[in-house]
Amino acid sequence: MTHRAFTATFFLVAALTIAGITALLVGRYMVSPQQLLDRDSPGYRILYYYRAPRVAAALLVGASLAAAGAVMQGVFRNPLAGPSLLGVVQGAAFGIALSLLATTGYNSAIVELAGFAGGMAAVFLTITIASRMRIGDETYRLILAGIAVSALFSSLVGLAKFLADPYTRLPEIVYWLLGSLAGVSWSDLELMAPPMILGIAATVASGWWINVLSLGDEEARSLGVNTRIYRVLVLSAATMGVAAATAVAGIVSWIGLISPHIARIIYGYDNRYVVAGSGLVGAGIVLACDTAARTLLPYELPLGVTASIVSVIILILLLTHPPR
Amino acid sequence: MNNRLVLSIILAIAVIASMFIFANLAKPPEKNTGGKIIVVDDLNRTVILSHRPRRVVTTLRIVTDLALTFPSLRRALVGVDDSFPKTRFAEIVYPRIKQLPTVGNKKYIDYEKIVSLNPDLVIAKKQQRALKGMDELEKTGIPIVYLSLETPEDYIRAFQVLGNITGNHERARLLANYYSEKISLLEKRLGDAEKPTALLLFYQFRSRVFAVPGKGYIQNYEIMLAGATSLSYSDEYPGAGFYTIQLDEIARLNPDYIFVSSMKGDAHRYVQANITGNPALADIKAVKEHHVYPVPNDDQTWDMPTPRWILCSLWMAKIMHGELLGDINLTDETIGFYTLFYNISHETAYRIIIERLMGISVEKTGDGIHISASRSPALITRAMLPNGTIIYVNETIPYMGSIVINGYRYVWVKLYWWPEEVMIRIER
Repeated sequence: MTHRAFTATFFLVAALTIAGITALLVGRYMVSPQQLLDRDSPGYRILYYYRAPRVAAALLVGASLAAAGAVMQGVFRNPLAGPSLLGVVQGAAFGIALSLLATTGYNSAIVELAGFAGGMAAVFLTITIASRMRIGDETYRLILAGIAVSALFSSLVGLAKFLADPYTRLPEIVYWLLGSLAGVSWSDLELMAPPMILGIAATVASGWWINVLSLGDEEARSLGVNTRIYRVLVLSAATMGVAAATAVAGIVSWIGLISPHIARIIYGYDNRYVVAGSGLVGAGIVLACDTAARTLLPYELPLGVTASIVSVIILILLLTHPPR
Repeated sequence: MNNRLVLSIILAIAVIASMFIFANLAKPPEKNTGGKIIVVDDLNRTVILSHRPRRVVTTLRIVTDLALTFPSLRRALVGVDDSFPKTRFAEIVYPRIKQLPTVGNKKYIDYEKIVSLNPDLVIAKKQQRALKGMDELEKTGIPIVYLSLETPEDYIRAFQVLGNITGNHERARLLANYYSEKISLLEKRLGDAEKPTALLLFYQFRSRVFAVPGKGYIQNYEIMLAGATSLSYSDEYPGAGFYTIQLDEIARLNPDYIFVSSMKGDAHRYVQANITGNPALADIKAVKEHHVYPVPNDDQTWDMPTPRWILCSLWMAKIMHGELLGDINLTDETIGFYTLFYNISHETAYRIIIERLMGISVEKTGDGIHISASRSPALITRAMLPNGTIIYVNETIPYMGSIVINGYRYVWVKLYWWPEEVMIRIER
């Protein structure tokens, strides 16, 4: 690791730690340090049952989306690529909507598993369609197939909303899809943290492969790399994290697009550092947005909304004040 | 001590003892073991409360509404949903409700707020179990009782549960008996009556379409109890949920009566704009015979599953079978319901009818008294002058309009969808 990368990582981790502790202590109910020692105090119960799993989920969701965004931008050599490019977010959204529509009772695990399965199924469909296309190179095919699959699942989500009872199921579907970490529990994390952690670890470890893939298929092959296998493996790892993140938090847009750009400003263009750095930046943005979503107003704002607003402001700042 | 005196004392003791015994026998079996209260909720879960709840939180509009029907529960509220307290009805019935912290609604619950309120009981609707984090709330040690509140039977059971929680079984029995009496009255009077067909249309203001209640919804029962055949009680509309209905489908069903419901209390607007004024529906029986009515709404529409559902049946029955229920005055019945269920005065109940149900407001201005009608046109039939003379007015306040009157002491107002005239007292 270069000196620059080491210093940047140290500061990012330190900032995340401070942000995490702050997020644990602030909220509508301010938790005092004395309460942390009293297991029966409301402060302890709020912190243990609600804030701690929520902060952990915010970090994992942010890191998953942002690392996946860096992978997509590297693999597709497109700075506008994001985690939703292959249809994973829309697929997960459809899985969530379908499970809420089809089940009369409620089971958080079923909804999350349906979201995860929907996201993975959408990407599998994208890869299958792309492999049967007869135009362009593989990257081009994947993008086109991803657009088609995204549109298909977006329409299916619309259909699910239309069919949902407007006074019972529809608000649940809409609220879930708007993105929120409200009520995330340890049991949600027990189920979805492993694929997110696996996805983050695999994408971070695949930095060198992404460097090679970002050179283009011809050059990569000339280095003896089987681009097809590498691409599928890297995209599968990213997809796994994004599907799990969407299953837990709903649709949280823009994080995967904006974080890699910030990471590149900090780390340069070496994807061995950019993917991990992007994960740290994304974790920080989602944590900050979620803390704002639950503390700024008397009622909770959807995370998807606050994350989009913050990300778009960052994007505009980057475009109007490009770093030298 | 003579024998008579001894016998009298023994008899008195026997009478008092038997009163205690029978009083205890009459109580429903309260599951109260060692000071603990055991409640079985509508998810069939056994919830154990260590003592009578003194700090209660309600998480949904209809649950808060229901909680107000038990005075001790009302006093114990420390947190409520964020929708019901905003209504004028809630403010009139229980002014303190506006000062209570709010904890969420059907989409979202503020768990941190609930925990910080340190409640000893949370009462939620069954469907809210679906919200993320509810199970964690129980893990923090706060018991949750879930109520279904969808059918008439659910309400009877809910009163029993609340009676068990508050220890006020007498009130639970009183409220449950109210329903039994009214159901029995309607069944007796209308059992042999010819049954017209009726359709309840629910206006969905978000999608701007009408919907009919599915077979499992309470609205069908309300119509059938009111002595009619509910056209939406059909396998075409199975189970729970609302089904969007097109105008041609309404024309095909061709109901004798149409009742239009809206959450926002503006159903009368859609009666004119979408049904009676719609050429596509001009030939259906309900329109031709002017049998299209907005469902009363006091901030809660009467047809929805709230404690008022029985009033909806009574109202529909008066509309469709007025001749068989001539001795029943709906205004008096409504006042009786509000005073009993919400523990308010006769005057406050009357105010709810005039102000909330009918949307009539009286305002003093420099040039006299403005009477305005915000929910539908209102016909002023008669008025009493300060000297006691009654004059016949027959003047209509248009919908969203007002008239200025001067010198009247009382006026009698008739709305086309309410079976009787109501009297409004005018004070200058």
